[in-house]
Amino acid sequence: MEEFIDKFNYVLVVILMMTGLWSMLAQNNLIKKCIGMAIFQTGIILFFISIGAKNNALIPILTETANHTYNDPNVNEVTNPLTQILMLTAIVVGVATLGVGLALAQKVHQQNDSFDEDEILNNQTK
Amino acid sequence: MEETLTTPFWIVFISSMAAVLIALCGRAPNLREAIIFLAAICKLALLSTLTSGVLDGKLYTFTLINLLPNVGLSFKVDGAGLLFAFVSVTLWIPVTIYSIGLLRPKKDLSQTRFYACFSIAISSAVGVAFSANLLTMFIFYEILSLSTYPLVTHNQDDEAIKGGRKYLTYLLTTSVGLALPAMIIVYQHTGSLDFTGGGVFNDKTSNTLLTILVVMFLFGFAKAGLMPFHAWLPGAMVAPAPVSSLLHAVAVVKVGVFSIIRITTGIFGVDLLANTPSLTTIICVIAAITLITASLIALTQDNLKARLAYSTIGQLSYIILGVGLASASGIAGAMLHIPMHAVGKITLFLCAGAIYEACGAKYISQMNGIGRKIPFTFTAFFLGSLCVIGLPPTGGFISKWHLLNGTLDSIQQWTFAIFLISSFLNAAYFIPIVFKGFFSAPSDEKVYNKASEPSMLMVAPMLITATGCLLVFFFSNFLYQFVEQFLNVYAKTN
Amino acid sequence: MIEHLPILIILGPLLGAVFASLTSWYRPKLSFPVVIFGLAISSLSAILIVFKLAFSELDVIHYQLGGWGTPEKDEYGIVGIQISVDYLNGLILATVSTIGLLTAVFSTRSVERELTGQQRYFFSLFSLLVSGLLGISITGDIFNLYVFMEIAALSSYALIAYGKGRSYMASFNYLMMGTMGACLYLLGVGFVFVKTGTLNIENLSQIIPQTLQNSQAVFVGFVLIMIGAWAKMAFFPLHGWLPNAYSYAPTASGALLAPLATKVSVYAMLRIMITVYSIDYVLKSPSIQSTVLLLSTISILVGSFFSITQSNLRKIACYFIISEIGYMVGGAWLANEPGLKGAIYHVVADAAMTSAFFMIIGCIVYRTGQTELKKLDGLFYKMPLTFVALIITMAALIGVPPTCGFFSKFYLIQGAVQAGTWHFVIALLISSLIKAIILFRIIEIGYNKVPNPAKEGNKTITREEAPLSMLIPTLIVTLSLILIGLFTDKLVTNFIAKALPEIPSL
Repeated sequence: MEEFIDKFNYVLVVILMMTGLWSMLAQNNLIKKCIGMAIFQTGIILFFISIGAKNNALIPILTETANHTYNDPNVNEVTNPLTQILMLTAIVVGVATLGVGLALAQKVHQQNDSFDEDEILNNQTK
Repeated sequence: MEETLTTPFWIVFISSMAAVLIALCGRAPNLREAIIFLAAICKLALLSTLTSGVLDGKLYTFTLINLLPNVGLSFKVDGAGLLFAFVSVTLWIPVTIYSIGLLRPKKDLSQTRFYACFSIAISSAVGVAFSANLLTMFIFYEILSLSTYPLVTHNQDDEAIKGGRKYLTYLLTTSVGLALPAMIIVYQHTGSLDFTGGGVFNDKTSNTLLTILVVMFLFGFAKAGLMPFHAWLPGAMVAPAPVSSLLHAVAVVKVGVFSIIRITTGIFGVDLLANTPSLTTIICVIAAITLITASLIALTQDNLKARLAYSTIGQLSYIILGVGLASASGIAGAMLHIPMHAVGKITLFLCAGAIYEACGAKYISQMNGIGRKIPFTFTAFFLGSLCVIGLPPTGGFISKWHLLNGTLDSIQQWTFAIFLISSFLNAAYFIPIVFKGFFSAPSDEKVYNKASEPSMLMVAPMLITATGCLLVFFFSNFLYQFVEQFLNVYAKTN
Repeated sequence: MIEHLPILIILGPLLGAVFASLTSWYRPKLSFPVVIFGLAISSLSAILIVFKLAFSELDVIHYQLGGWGTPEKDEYGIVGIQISVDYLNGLILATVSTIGLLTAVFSTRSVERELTGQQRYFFSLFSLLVSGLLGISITGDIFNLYVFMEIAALSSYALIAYGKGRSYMASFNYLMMGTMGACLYLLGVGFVFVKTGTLNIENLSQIIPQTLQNSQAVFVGFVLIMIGAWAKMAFFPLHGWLPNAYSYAPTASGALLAPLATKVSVYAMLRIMITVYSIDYVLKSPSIQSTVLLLSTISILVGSFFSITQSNLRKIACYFIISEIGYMVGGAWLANEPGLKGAIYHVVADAAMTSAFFMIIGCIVYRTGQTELKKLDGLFYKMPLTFVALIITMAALIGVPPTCGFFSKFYLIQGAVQAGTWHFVIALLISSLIKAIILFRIIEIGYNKVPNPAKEGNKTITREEAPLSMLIPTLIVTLSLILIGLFTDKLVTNFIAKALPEIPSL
């Protein structure tokens, strides 16, 4: 149990990702698929953030000392900035993908008047 | 004694270049056909420049480009290759004359395609003859299959398309499904695909693997027509007469058996075969079954071209059986049977085409008595059949003599009987045609009345090749010199 | 200038994409020359850099972005993104950029007809897609690879959706599958990063094989990355999205996506497999290896069998891609020298073959408006050059020597024989034969089905080749199939053999 609590962040991430993945694969509704995709991506983002996090750590911002010189931060006192930067990119990618996905879903809806995958397939093969 | 020389390359490619020119000159028939003759003569001239050297025991080699590590697109001219190249190029000339005689009057508009594909086919046949390794041979073998497809389907009717489909299906399935993997296994095992005197395998190769490879190669080169992969040959008989004659008497089928001779002597090696009775037994049994079965089927065929096709299947097995004997005279007989059978069978096919043109008869039962009205054609047919049966004074006698000799040197002596039985069968399916043609009462009045000798352009080539049947008998010693050079390299110890 | 060649390869099409959309506000017609210029720069730099590599003693050319320095020498080098060109991706870069350039020239007329008025957007996206693909190939950083993967993917979703009608749904399905693949890849990268603390490929290649051979997390990362890459390349059983996506897309999009997108994913897989994790690592899990080989066999067979049931040339081509993916994945996972050589060689060869095939389809669509096999009768008389190109391409796909398809098959079968994976050998041969059957069908329909129109009394068919701007790129690519085949030995000994990692002898 203790281990479980220790790693609750990972458990949460796994739950999120599986929810997302299930929704992407098993849902018939295109919008729900898009939502699932967003959840999946959020799960991964949280995973990266949590691997860079440390107990009682500060934000990785350099403090200015005299004459515009900066102190090297103590790596044990700040969170890993790299994962956060990476996730900034991943968030951008995720938003873009979601946008394209929703746009496509909307186009499909215009054509078939439905978001339901089975119905759309029926329409198209008719 | 190896010597690097670009001539082999030019000999191979000269008719491919001719094909391009032919395609460009489609509008001017005279120019187009002049190009063919020019190419054939150039080829012959270049071939004869190599003759004296080869007879002195030289090997001319040339590598165009390296395709795989150790394996290039390479040519090597030895006795066997030169002999085969000579046969196919020499016979190209009368067949071209014949096709002009056959196709010109019909105003056939696919003639340009016909001649162009024909040239490419000759190119690839010579390419196979000069290949220095298995890969080069395989490449030319495949080009030959593809370039002859338009020839087989020349008439473009349903029957032709069906025949063509069968043709390509059989040839490609076997070459891709059996020959290619066998080749890759050899390469994987030995790192070499070159044809060399002693073969490429060493002592460590297991017998099982060798047996599997032999079977894969025998059936993989299905142009050799071994049963059960023979059905393409009768199917391809829908092609016009010159195609059947040159391709299915000389180029295509002989490429098949020539490939098998090359592989057995150059990849496996005669010594290996002679010391491994199980291998020769397999080769001999497969060939013997085909030989007898094909001859029996030939007896039952009423369609003349189909009978010739089955006869071809049988005769090809003579050659493979000769190789399977793994003795020097057996291989010599097999090599000699290539030109002997080629000249005999080409005569027969040309005659079949001429008979059809002369009186529209396709079936043997219709041909009673017409020999009296078209004596030249039937005389030629008679000489051709003598050559295929193997009676003196025609070339077939010489090669069969060597083959029979070979059986006695070999451990597979039972094949002696096979050769004899099949020769009787050959006589049984050819002699009645000639006999009834000359002496029986006409069976089909319409055919009989219509019959008259076809144009000179068709008769002359027939007579040339029929004379050829006699000439190869009297000059067989000259042909044997080529074979001797080949034996010196590949079957020395034997 | 010469030291900036690596970055020029991506910058060309990337800036081309930006400027194409900017200049098009001013004058729509400018977008096309801008894109062509960008692609030409990229193609030229890629070829130059390949030659530079071949004629120098170097194994790899690095280029640092942002002045962070290298991971080995500099303190924060780990943060910087490195791009690097070695023998493996040099070949891919040259292929991708050249085919991209030729396809751009090819697609002008077809886009003009199919997407009238939208050319400028199309070409921006086109350029962006090429830069994404080049980015995947050139980057030396596994996270950066993800970013480029998504750049390429996002632009390809849009390019496919241009096809209207059923393409929206096809594109949506592709988006779901593609995003899932990319996410799994990213997750895998996360696992690797946790253990190693670096994203640099070269750095990883020193850390993982030496110290983290037995780490569970790294292994899970490996599996996730592989599944991600497979989803992107439509490897069985993740192939469902491909046939619809590529066949309902506009012909020009198909001509760009089909040859390049999947091949670049195969490259990504190869890079992770042989550089980041090393062949040793692959060989250490034989159960996974044999499963993947079995999947490749199934992939080849499924692709082939579905292709023969199709009546539409584009669908046939799409199923061919699935079977060719099986060739490459299988070749790579044979994890021996000839197998890997065959896989790498086939990436190049198949890019050319698929490109030729889809360009030919583009030509046919341009003139006849459809690709139903039944309606292609007499194609030989209508478009003789295109038809001959189609036959050569099919011959290459079958593996008729001396085209490039023969040699890739030669190496792959050799590799499979060496590994004793006989089912893979049989699958390769069966797929060859099935392609041969399709070739006969095409020949019979296009050539033999109608009576010779030159003969008197038969219906005449007027010759109507596609415009030169389409025909010439098509013929160039088709000819390259034979040239690649003839120069196999040079290609293999000078590039592919050098691209191979050390392979442990068994």
